[in-house]
Amino acid sequence: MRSSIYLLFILFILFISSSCNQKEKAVQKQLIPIIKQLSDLATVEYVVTKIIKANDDKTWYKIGDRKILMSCKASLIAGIDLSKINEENIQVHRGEITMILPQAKLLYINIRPEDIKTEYEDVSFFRTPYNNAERDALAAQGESQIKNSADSLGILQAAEVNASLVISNFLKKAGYENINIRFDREKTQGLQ
Amino acid sequence: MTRTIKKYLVIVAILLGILFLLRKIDWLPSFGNFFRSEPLTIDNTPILIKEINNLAQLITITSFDEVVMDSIKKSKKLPGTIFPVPASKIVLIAKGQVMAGVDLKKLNNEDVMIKNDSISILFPPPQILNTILNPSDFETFDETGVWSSEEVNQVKVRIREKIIQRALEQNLLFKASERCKIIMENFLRNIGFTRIQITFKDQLP
Repeated sequence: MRSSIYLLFILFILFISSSCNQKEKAVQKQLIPIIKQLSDLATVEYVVTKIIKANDDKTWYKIGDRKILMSCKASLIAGIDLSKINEENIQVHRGEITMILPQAKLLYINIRPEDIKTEYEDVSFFRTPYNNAERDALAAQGESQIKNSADSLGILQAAEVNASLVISNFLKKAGYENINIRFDREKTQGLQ
Repeated sequence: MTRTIKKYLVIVAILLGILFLLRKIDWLPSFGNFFRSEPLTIDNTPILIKEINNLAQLITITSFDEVVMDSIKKSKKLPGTIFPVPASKIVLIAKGQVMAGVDLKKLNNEDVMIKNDSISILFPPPQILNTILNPSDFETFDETGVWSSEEVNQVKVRIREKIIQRALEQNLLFKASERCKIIMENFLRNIGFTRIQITFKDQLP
């Protein structure tokens, strides 16, 4: 009777340890980078700067000011999605080629950590200095403002002009002389 | 004496009842809201364009990764005393992207050979085109002590290096070249070529 209890106990311990290992493996599996295939042709980069300005003086019971001024540099990259070009968008006739390209879109925004600098910080005696989490949250707001104003900077028009040039040059290298490139104006696209 | 206390208790009870009723019909803010910190928002400042660069980058693959990195500043003694300052620690969680592909600007005229409906292109080697680690991609999991922007940036740069290294371990550049082949073959077939040969400069024998 006692030996069977010992046996059950050992089996229980083995079961618990094996299930723990499985959990560890599952966690490790999640940590492998996810690879995604793309077909983006990046044709223009806008390098922009912005001042991030905040004053934490709106809470009534906090005594004293807490101001911060940060500068940030961002790269906005725009281009076209080549996977949207299919047979229907291309017409070839006796050395003349007509191609309808998809509309340009903002592909991504890149703000390198070293391009965000704290230029000025003024914290009164009764307040705590800005910590990293707060600085990141302010910079994230700046990132969002840059992303939202990308359209007004004219980056998409510049991306389409350059896309047209890149494709034309490539088609010239491929032997075409008469090249007509237009853009599909049916859909509007943006950074998701 | 007892009567006076009773009188005050009744008044307090009535006042509490009134406060409760006003709160119920939302005429008074809750105590939680009363002591809540106002959210910290930034001012709407202008965006200045510094540079405009023409690109011709074919981005064919991207690797999404999540990395945790910590850093500890060892404790020091307060100047002129024997009292130690506690160690400072920061733990960051970052979600980053590594983008790889081919820079078509490096493609020369002599890299393209055409004969009738056959085309052969020698592409420049695939490369990492960008690594994206934006402010919104970071989460500060733990932070003790004072950390300057420069000190945190050093940790973030280490995170970027780790994300690139992990992406390369996944054979990202080879996968980028394979994907580039597929995209270019489809494109060239669509524009009328039937025999297509695509090679990369780093894969030449």
